[in-house]
Amino acid sequence: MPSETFLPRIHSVFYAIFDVKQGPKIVYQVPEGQVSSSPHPSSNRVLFNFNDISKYVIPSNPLCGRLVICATRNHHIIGFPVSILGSEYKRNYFRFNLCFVFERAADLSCYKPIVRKVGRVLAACEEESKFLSSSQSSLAMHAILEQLYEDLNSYSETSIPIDKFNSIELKIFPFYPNPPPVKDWQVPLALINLKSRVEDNWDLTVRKVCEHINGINHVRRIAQLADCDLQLTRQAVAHLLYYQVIMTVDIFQYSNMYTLRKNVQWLADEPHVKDECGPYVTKPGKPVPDWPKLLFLYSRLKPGKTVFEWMQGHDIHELGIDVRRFTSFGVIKGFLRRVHRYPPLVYSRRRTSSPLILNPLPPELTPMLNGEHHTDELSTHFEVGWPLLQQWLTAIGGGKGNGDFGEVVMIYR
Amino acid sequence: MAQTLLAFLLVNSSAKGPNLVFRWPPNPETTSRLSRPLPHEDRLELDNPWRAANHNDSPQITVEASSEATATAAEDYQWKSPSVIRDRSRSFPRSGSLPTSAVNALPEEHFFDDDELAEDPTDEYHRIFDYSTQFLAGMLCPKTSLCHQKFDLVIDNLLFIGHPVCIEDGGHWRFKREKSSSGSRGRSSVNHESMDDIKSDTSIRAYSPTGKNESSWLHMFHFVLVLDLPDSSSSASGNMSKYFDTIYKQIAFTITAVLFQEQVLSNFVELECDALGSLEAECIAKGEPFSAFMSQALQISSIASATKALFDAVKSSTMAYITLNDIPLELQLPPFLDHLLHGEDEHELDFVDHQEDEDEARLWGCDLSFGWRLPSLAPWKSLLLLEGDQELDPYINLRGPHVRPDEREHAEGLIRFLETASVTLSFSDMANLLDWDLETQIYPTVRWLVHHRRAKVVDTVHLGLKTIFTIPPKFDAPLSTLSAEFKRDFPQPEIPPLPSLLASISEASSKQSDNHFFAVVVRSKELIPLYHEVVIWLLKRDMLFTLHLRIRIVATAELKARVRRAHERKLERSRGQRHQDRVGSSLRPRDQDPAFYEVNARRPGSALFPLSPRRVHRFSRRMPSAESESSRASETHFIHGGEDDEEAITDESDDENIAWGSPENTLCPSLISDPGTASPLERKWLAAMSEGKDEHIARRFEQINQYFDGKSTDDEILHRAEISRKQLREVLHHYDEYVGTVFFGRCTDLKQHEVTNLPAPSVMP
Repeated sequence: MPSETFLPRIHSVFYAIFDVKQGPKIVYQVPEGQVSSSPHPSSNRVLFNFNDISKYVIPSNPLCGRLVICATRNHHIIGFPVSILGSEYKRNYFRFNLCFVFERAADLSCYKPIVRKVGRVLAACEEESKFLSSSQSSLAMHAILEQLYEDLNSYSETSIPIDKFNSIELKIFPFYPNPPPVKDWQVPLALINLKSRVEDNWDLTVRKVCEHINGINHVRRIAQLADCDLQLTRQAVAHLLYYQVIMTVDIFQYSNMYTLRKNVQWLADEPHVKDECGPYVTKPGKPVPDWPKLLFLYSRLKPGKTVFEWMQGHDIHELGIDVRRFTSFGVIKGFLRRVHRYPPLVYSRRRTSSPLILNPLPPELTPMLNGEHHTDELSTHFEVGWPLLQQWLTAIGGGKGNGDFGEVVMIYR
Repeated sequence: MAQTLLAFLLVNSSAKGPNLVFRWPPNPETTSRLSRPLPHEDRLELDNPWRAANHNDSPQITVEASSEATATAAEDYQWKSPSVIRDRSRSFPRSGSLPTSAVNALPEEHFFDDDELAEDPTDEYHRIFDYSTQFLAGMLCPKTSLCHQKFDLVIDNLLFIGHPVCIEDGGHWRFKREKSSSGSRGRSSVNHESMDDIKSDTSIRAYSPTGKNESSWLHMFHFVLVLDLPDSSSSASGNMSKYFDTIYKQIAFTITAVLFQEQVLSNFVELECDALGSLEAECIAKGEPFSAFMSQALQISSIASATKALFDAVKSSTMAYITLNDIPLELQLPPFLDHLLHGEDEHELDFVDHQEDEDEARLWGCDLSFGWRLPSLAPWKSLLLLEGDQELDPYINLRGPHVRPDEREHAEGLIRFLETASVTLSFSDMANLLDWDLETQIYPTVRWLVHHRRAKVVDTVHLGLKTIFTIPPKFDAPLSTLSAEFKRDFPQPEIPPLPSLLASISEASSKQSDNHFFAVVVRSKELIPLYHEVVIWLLKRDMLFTLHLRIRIVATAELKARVRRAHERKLERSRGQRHQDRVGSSLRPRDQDPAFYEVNARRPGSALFPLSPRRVHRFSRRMPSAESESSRASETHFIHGGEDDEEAITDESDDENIAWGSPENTLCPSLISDPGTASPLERKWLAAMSEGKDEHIARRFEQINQYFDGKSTDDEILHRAEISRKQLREVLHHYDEYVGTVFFGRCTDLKQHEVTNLPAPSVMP
């Protein structure tokens, strides 16, 4: 989860060109006087001296058309130098750059596309109408800088009409990290009411996928139910994950195993955990068990013990606890995690068939028994339930069944 | 770091202009990127009807789309992780690095005034990253006003980090004398003492360089790290700047500091630049290939060979042992630095023993606090020694003939430390055994060993292997590789294959009893030494973690009701008695009886342990419990004296401070979340739990219940309370007996966590 969605503040915007006589120079800046061009600045409001960084602001050709970020002691200057060629210019080229100044510690990721776009739009204006190089129209640049500075700092978006055909339309988006890749066996769980947010102009797949997100269906199942391409479904789920409106949990089965995570030591005392847990996990109409009891039950979920065994051991039916909600509450709050079964085949001696087997054994199963794939992955890959997979594994390992898989061992992790 | 580092450059500047003196590797390559976010991977942006219509020839389309894009848009690139790109680059018609494509995409006329156009673009001597070396060197030599401070420059996907240093105004290389000026050079924040130290050390003896070493032409030099700018969307905001800052501090700054010192003292950098420059000129004149120049450069220049060694070490995430002008240097980056760049799988972090507060981080020191993921440094942990390089073996260094007599004693001490260290011995035991001080002798040694990757801190393992282990959800290497290594290291027939071993360990934790390693795997006393090796093998690869017991106390409904009833009875009784007898108030000063302070002072932790500042802090937090104990002590005292009246009155005045709350609140069970800072009411509950218990058990329970907060581990409790495991078990057993069956047990959950609900006695009076 990104902790800093706030955007960095622009300290200064300036527009610089390569002047035929003076070389690189600042034409306009907003606010005035923050970037000094004289070697001995008089005011202490000055952020830095332009001469220190002019070679990065108006560089020679290899850097033009590239995003350049340079630094002074306390500031970062981000710009997109542009060089436009043409015989009408005295030196056969016109170079300019519109730069933004930020504090050195600021995270500039969200401004990179902004700076590129401003550079491209201004370049287009110059190419079309000599907007920048003609002495009349270039006066408008000061107003553009002012508006960029004010609007982006205050509203994070702006719309600046430049001429009949061109305008600068900008919006700064807060920055989210990419979600991890979506796996077929993950179960998306909505964190907001998704259905109320669906709009007609949404992507078709996302809309279809949203309908089947209920905290029970896994990705592959959703693809089947929504009649969507599997890869498209993964992408749709990844999109929802990116905007943090869903999270993923595991497929609920009574054969699952869970274990507590370390952070339960803090979370067990948090009001949002201990007060919400009881009402969430109890079936309607049943008395709500107290938190110490629930915590005790959580603590009895262990690797090697299935939910079914745990239920039998602790009279869960009597307590009126909805086990799926019980486990998903722990996973959502982050103090419980799924323990997966990884079945590696210890000896590679191949066994052919076994009388136990009802369905033919898929040949590609054995190579997957290398300890890298867990049983949820195998189940979704071969589209079989745990009971059948169990039989297959028993057959491959030559075990006696009932938890004995022979040469296939079960690692719980 | 291994991922993003592309090259090291050494750039200098003289009257002749900027120059790239040395680079390593010879031909660094950027990872190729798409020229703009193209629907390359799965072509999702092509709509479905189109896909259906062109189903069979989609690969071709991809190629078209990407080449078309390179021709149209030069600016935007979508970053792909290197591995992805490498896999996919096959489908590119040309998998050249980005600048090639970008440069090609620019209209040809762009280059009409380019001074380097005349150069052959394939000229390895003068091209790097598709820039001319001359041009890039110019960009990396900033104005003198930007020297002596952190430098960073981003050009599209390349990041250059360094710390340029330049000559003084008078034309001499020298240290800045005044501290104030070094401060004003903008050395950001902490950890920069080294350079200042060097300066203050050396400025006195070598303020002016000696005549023979006088610099003649070098104006500025800059040791630059070139990094491939990672995708900003791959990690949480803020991590990136920490990442770069660490690289800057650990490498760029340190190298520059040493080079600068040597330049001032002996004109070292200029001489090296001279040598490399003339060698290069010679090679170009002879028409030798660039690789020949590079291999010769490595032989003649210590900067060149050090740069290569450093690069290799960083790429392999090991320590770099380099030598610059005969000054040995040890450089490294935190082992988990690269993890900052990726959205971390949360579960993985579970198995990192986070330092819970700043105090613990301080124990490790600032060098080891960031990107190291170290477990907390606590007296109940142990040291696991890792094998190092033979040539750098501390034993050899310590026993070697060059150890001076006055150091001999220290060396022998260290050898004794290394010989004593074992996973079965906690730091506090080690301190006792060696007669070393924990904080001032043991910890610094541990820090040094960990920092040099010679050791790691693990949980103490039981001598008879009766420790309960669990395995993490992910291993660093594929299981098949690990199994093969395991087989090679442990060919003995008694030892099962690794997968079976792991399966037994992972299954064990669900058992109620006999779930420790000895019972599950070893089973025979003779095999213990062999399995010690196995455990150490697994611990070294982070494949084994110790399960810990953590304990919580539950005040049950019955207990609460009982306490409440007792309270009400007392109220009634005292109401009846109060008007008869008012002795109690006159006895109040007894509370100041020195005896009570003795009771207080004998509390575990406050007197028995040497108090570190951290612990003082901890115990000051627990003061309410200390008070509670003294007040309870006063109660027993009164009871023994048979002065029932006084007890009633004292008690009653205590009760006035108790927030009893509504009956509903107090009558359903609850956790006593931190018994150490229990409220008066919770203290009454705790006291009621001990009713009818053996006196010594009850007293021990009083002593240790402050640790039953669900956070302290069993090891910690045993250490802090100075009791044996058996004594702890005894207490837990006694406070369990009334409810018997289900509840107590050594419940084992996640590696680091278990909740054991310690139920209160629930028998009705």
